[in-house]
Amino acid sequence: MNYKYQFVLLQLFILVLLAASGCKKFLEEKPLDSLAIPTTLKDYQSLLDKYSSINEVDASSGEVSAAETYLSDADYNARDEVDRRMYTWQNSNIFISQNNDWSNVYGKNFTLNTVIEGLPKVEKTALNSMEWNSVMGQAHFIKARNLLQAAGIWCLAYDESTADTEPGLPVIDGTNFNLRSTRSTLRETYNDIINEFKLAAALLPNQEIHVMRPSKPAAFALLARTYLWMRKYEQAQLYADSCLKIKSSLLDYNSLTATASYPFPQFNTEVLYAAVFKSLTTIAAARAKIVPEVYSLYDPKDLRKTLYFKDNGNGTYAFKGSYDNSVTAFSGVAIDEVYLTRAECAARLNQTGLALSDLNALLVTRYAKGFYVPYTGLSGEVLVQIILKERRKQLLIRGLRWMDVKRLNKEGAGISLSRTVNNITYNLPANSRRFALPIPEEVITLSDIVQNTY
Amino acid sequence: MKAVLFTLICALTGIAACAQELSGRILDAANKTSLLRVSVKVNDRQTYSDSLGFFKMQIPKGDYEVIISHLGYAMFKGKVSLPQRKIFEVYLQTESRQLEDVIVSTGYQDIPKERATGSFSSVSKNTFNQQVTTGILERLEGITPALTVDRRTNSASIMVRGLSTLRSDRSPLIVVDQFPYQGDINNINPNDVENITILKDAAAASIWGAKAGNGVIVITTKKGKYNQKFNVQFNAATSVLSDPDLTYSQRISARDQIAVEQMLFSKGYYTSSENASTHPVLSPVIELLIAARDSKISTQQLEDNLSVLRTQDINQNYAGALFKTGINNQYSLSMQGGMANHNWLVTAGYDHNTSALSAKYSRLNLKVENNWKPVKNLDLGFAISYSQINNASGLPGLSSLTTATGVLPSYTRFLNNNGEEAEVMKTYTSRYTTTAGSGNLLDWKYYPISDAQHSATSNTTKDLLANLKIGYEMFKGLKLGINYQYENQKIDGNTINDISSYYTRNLINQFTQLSGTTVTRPIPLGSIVDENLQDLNVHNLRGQVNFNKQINDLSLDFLAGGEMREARGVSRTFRSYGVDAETGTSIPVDYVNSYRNFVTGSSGYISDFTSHNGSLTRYVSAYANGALSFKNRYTLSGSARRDASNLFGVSTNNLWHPLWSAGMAWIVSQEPFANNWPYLRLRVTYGSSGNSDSRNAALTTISYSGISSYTRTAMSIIFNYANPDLKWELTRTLNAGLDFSFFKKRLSGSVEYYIKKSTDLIGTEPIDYTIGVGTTVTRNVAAISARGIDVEMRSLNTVGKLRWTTDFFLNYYRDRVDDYYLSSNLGSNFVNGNLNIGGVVGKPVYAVYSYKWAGLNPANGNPRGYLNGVYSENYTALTGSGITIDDLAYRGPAFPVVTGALGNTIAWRGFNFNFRISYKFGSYFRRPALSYSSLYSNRSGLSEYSNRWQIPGDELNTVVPSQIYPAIGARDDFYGYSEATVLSGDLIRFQYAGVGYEFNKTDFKNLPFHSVAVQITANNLGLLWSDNDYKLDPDYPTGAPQRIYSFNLRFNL
Repeated sequence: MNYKYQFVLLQLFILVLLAASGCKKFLEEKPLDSLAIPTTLKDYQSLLDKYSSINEVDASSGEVSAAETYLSDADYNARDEVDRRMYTWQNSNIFISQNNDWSNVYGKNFTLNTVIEGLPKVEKTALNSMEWNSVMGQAHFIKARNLLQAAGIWCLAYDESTADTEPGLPVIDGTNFNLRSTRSTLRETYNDIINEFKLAAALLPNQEIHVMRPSKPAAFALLARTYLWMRKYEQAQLYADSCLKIKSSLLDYNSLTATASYPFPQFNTEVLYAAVFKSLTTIAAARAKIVPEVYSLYDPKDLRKTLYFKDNGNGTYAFKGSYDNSVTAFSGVAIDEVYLTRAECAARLNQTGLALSDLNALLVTRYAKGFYVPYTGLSGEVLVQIILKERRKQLLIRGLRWMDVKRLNKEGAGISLSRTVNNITYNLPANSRRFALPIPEEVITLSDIVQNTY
Repeated sequence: MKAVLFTLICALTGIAACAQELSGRILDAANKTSLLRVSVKVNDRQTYSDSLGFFKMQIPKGDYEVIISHLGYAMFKGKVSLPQRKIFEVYLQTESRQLEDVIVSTGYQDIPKERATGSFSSVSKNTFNQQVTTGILERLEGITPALTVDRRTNSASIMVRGLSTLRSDRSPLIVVDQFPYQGDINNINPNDVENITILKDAAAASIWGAKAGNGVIVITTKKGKYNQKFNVQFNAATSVLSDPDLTYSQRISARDQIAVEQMLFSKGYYTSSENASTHPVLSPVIELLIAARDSKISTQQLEDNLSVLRTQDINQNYAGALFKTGINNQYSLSMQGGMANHNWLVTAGYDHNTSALSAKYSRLNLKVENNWKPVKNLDLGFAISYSQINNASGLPGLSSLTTATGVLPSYTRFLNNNGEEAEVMKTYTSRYTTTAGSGNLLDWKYYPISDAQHSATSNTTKDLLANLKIGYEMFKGLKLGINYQYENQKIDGNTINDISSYYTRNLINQFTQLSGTTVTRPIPLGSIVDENLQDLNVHNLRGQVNFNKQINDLSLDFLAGGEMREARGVSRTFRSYGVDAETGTSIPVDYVNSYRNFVTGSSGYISDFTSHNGSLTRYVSAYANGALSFKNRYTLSGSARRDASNLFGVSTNNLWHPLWSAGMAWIVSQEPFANNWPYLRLRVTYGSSGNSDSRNAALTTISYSGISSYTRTAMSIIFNYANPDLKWELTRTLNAGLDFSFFKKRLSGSVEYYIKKSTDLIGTEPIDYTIGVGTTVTRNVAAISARGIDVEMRSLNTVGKLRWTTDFFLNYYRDRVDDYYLSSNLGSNFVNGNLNIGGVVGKPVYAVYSYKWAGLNPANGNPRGYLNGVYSENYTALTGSGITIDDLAYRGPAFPVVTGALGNTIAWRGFNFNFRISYKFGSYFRRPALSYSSLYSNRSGLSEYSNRWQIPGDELNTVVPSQIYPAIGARDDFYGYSEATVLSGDLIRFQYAGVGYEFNKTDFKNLPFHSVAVQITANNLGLLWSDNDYKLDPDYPTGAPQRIYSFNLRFNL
């Protein structure tokens, strides 16, 4: 072999060695097209648009516990043990392992914190500031909403006098998952909820491209809900008002078909923010029957009597009034609730006129055309009770009743719950500590979270 | 593969003559084929054998020493006296699992095993070919030392010397020839395999760096050889498979199932399902009970129907109606030839398999290899191989026939009384489907057998592998080499659900919009076609310098090199609706608007299955390896390697990860003091190997997953949760071995002892899900250590006309957790057999823990445990958070402690007989247990239901708890995860047996070819013995392997 060949070979060889030993660029290509290190607004927005893990994972334990529905003995016996325990307000082991409401609520935490932590590194320019604000606002909104849901389920009702001693919830900020979670006080928890919602409200636009995304009026509506649950009626009224100033359209129930399996259109004009429960267990319409006391609240001319209920043909009724237009129950926030909140606050604050006008504005759309007789001349506790009755009727199976029972009991309503199965009656007396559900036991063992005491 | 066994059949006596002829024949002892161009030396004279193995030489009368040597065979030295009376025959036998003179391949170099310090095991072509299977990996268990297969994970995982990692991927690196094989290893034709080397310790494996932590399997394929006469081999094999054993799942009997359903029905269990707006399907028995209740059928009709159903057996009904005999055909052809400066090899293979369920598999393999020495010092090699695999689905497996409400009941019939196909329950109740849509919907019945004709999945894999090698010797001892390999694998899969398939009819019906009598179908009539295309392109480039130098007694072998590798994958999936196969047209559908579901009335979108994905992995590595020998007696070795990759977020510090090893070997028997000692060699190595993992990310990454139907924007989820504290897993191995051979090499073998210490093992750990990263998190969770002994022995029991060889290996393996940073000691995490969870310090890494079992309560048949030392039936407490790991009963390791195999080959004249037995001892496993919760909710029950506690006294004979209603999940869990359901995994398995005869030209002069061998093999013969009474094969949780009976013809032209 001549030297020319040797030379070429040697050169080739050196080239290979050089290539192999360096080439930083060679290693900087990303390993999967679909993979990204989140750096852009689009990346962060895409995390929040993943509706199946953001909008469709609401906790139904509160609704299950609120006893607006009941099961036949046969259906009760056919349920899993944890479901039976939750149904009868046991104070331990009412959640299945892992895929339970605690993980439904807290499961998106890290994603939200990733957005909140990462977004400030995306430069905000004149061009993208609207979008930037919205993404940040969405993350805060969803985070606050999670906490509010959890507070309704695992904490007692907020009471100014005990808020510093009652346990609240773990509030997880940042993305270091090596920290162990602990519970803050109930006051701290509610302060966090309010701060997050206020941040969100300041950043969110009046309207987003879809109600699957949070918006400013939705944030106001949830601020109103939070203050109402805290029984701070002035603030609740203020935020309900702010919400309705932006969006106040009501759905005329006369336009709906009562014979449809699901009469309410999805994303209808009342929906401010769309969300549904992850699992329905004992409140699934296939087995859950509406408590007769609730069904009897609706007048014959009340359209909801047929729009909300499916006649099982055996004297029992199932709920079909989901704003999700499906078997799945709507658990987002809608304008009807805001009307009722504003009305209740006004009534409690003796602004009778305002209260009546909101109540009538809502109810006229719920009754058959020409049959609604507006309420007049009522005031004080009588008016409050009527508004509360309408609240219970309108917001059935929305995940709100459980917290309403708790807060109303703080007002002295004395609502006790009871359920009878297999000839055994289970009671949940007003203001029982069991109104705060037990946290899943495995969470307790894996964290520094303390269990609710009973 | 030089090895020695010779049978010398000669009588050497003199016939007076001056110039005598020495004539003889040289044959391969294993297959009696003639060996061509074998060198025969007598004094300074040399000659070569011809194509029939004959040689002749003219030499004067006298006594001589004959030296016969041939590449790949051992040198033979023997005495001969001339004149000779009879032709001089020498058999040279090839055998690889021999300790001396074995060449082991690391994928980077071939080294004589005698000089290797590391731990290697090999499988020869002969042993490998004793079985007939379609794929390579199926043959390895039982013939490969230190290799076990764990089938408890979703796909069977191969392990070399037990565990080095806790994660699910425990598989060793598979190297084919010189490079890691990126495609499916089943693409390779097993008839192309020359030998297989297992790299077991760090010194052997560290050359493969960060991917070698789990061991390396190097598969070497047949190569062309210089100076070899044209040679053709043809092989044809037909295998018959036994039917899959459906009874393995031990279903509840039809009679018991019906009794349970009747009980549940009477309790109103099905009332809510019966009235549910989703119209869920109910079992035939429940429908009969409903009909009887509603007086649609008489009590007598109900009873008649039930009594027929009670006699049914779903397994028999399915197997009887559907199973055909599974047949595998395998053909292969190999041709090769070689001159002094050119050699070539062409192989072809074709496999065609039909399963019991008529699924079809075919594989075509072609390979061409050429090597040249165009000029002195230069070697060029070019090889190209192509595989094409076609798969077509057959009938569905019984276990895949599920319904919307659970498994099929045990009395399911697939044919009715007059032999016609019967309707089988699927999604919706027939009370609904027969009337829904008042005739405007497509038929909604499900017939699983004929459905298979309308719902077919097929895929084609095409794999092209091209390899280019250039080697140049700059000067004596210094070689430069460049090796480039390109691989392209394309997979094209599609599923066609035509308009008659249940899938398509059901989907069309669900989306059908009916207003009055107007029918609109958002999903158009026609086939639904799903297509999936994958394209993988892999480039490997390696440059290497080899240097060896002999200075007096000192010899140095050194190599260093660098390599780059890139694998780029693209995959695309898409779906077409309303496809007309004849015109090839499809109908676009509306993905943007939602439609009301016909059944439930809720709204939903048509699924869009379009996706595009790309992946890219890149590696850059540098490595060096050297060995220094003195007098061929003492060897020192060392190796080092660094790897870098583009895997995300591996922080820069970790990008280049150094791994190294060092070792020494000493041939004791060559010492002057060991004059008459048998062959003895000692070796010790120490080194580290790593495990890189793409999950080792220091940054949070997200993965895009489609477009939201609502916002029409991209969606993503977090793919990896940043954990900057994550470190690479590191395994350090100390290996000490003793190689020996006694009695003139009649008994040879090795004994090795090793300690593996793995630190910073990455594992999944349960995490408080309040954090929002899910229920488990990937962390460096543990340090483990393993100790083991590998014994390999080979004995030539008889030599001569009857040649009986035995090989035996035994692997002892025990591991323990040295350190565990577990934040949960919740008992329920340890009993559920979840292999993601490691263990307790001092205990095996995977161990079987159970709830302590106190028998059944004699009064009511309730299972009992212990709570604070006393009997308890409080199942919530017995399985709850109060029960920690300390309250559990530890039974033993989940992986066997002792594994091994014993193989025998007996040959006499043309006959040969071989069989192999393997064994495993010391492991425990959990058998399936009856759960009343699942029995009620989805009908899945076990035959042990009939053995349940029913009356006091039964507790003496059974552990199956009494039946209760409603079921208590915790009670089922307690029984299922108690000591009562743990069994010993000890077993002895009859791996295979074969018998054959070889006709060759020497014995049969009229044979038109050199030889033809006939071989009959029976594979997967099942358990000879197992330590459990449940007819369970501990190695196969879901079903025993099918027996394979093969008939094999091997021609040598």
